[in-house]
Amino acid sequence: MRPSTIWFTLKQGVKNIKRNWMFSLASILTMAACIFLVGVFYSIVNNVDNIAHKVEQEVPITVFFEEGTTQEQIDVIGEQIRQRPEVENIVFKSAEEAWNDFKDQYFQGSEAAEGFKDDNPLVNSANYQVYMNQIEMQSDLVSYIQGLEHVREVEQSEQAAKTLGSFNRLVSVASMVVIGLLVLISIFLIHNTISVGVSVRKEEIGIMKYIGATDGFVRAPFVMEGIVLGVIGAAIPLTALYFLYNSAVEYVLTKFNVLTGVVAFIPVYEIYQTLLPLGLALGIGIGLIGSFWTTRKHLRV
Amino acid sequence: MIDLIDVSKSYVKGSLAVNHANLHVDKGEFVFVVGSSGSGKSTLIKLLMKELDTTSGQLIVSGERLETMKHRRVAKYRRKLGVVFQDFRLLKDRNVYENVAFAQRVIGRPGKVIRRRVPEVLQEVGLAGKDKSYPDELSGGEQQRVALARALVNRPDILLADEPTGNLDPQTAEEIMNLLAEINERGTTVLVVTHNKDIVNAMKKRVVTMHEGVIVSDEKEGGYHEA
Repeated sequence: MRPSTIWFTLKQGVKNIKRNWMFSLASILTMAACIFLVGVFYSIVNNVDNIAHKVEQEVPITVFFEEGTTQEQIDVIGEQIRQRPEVENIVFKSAEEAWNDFKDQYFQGSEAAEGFKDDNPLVNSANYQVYMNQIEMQSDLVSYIQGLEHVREVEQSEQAAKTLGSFNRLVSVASMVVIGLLVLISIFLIHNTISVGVSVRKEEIGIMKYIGATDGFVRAPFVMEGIVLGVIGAAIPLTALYFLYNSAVEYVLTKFNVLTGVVAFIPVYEIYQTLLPLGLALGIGIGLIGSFWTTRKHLRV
Repeated sequence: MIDLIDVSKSYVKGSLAVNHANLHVDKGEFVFVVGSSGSGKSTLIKLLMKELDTTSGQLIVSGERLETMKHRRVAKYRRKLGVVFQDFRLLKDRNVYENVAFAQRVIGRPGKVIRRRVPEVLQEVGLAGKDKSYPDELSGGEQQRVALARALVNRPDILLADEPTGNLDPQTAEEIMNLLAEINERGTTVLVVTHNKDIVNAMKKRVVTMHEGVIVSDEKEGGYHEA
């Protein structure tokens, strides 16, 4: 395509938008709402995922050994666990350390603990704390460790991760449904907008066809119109979300200051590494589908 | 240049708008196609433009077989034709220059060529100096000249005119027909569908008469006959 043809196409496309700006505005706003929701859900799902991940990594699996297991045998078990790719880190805690931790936590220096002075009640509590890098592998790892020799018990605290995981699934499904509906409405509105443009320019299109314009040339301004609508429809929510994201994070952290330090939100630029191309692709995609559908239907002369 | 070999076209089963027509037009000829309403003249033009498909027969225009032509080839084929209509079909929101330039833009001519060629063709049709006027500011004759300029700007092999004088007063009609004759003298094959008895009789050109889809006469220097 010559530069003059591209310029001509672009001008025609923008002219179409101006000519029926009411429909254009409706398409842009619906698309903007759709992409805004995509952005909101994407940010929520990713952040919850991130938090779940952190929780998973911070809450270890605890491995206890059978009575009478020797230190060498414990070392062998440790080595076997360390070999697993999903294991991030493994820390050994002797019975003594376990008892000291327990004392610190529950007796807080009170005399009562002295009654057990030479008789560690947690004598069989030597354990490994296993930290993971892939929490979804937790149950696999647990059954692997349970199968090892001299392992008495494996404790896992997957409740938090599980709850966050199912929350995320719920948000994902709900957002898919809403976004799917909005995408359909957007495509339909773009189709309507461009149909109006096509009918306003029916005469011109007729003239173009008998002068020898190709289907592609006739279609191009309408496809361009769809793309321009898509880009505007994506740019508005993406810009708004960029600023809203930081305010929302700040709001959550001040409102629930108990979360400060516990929960780390993903920085906005990291979210936008995916969200920006995703939002633009969605906008342009909706514009393209809507305009192609319309022009295929109307422009075969 | 144009060959119809046993061409028929039916819109509804049973009735033929063009009925087993045979016609040969040489390069550089000027031909009138005459006949009453419903005689098949306009259908013939539409078949030549590949706006309609033939029902049977062979139709060869400028070396191209129309009855077997693929849809994607049609646009390129139409660039070999210039077409004018009774109702001019100009774009009202564009001035004379833009209406003519439009025909070059849609086939992707570069801006430099457009800026040179449009004034040239406006001069040829007698519209020099009118390039900034809008269609509504022009007389019927002038509007038809713009349509002619648009049809000629891409230097077509064949000019098809469907009742080009139907909306014009006798004097203007004559001017337009003289212009068509001039265009023909410069080498373009011209085929004019018309009702205008006086002009056909005065111009002494080849006349093809149609009646109910059938070509009933074809005379070298003919006149207008009611079939």
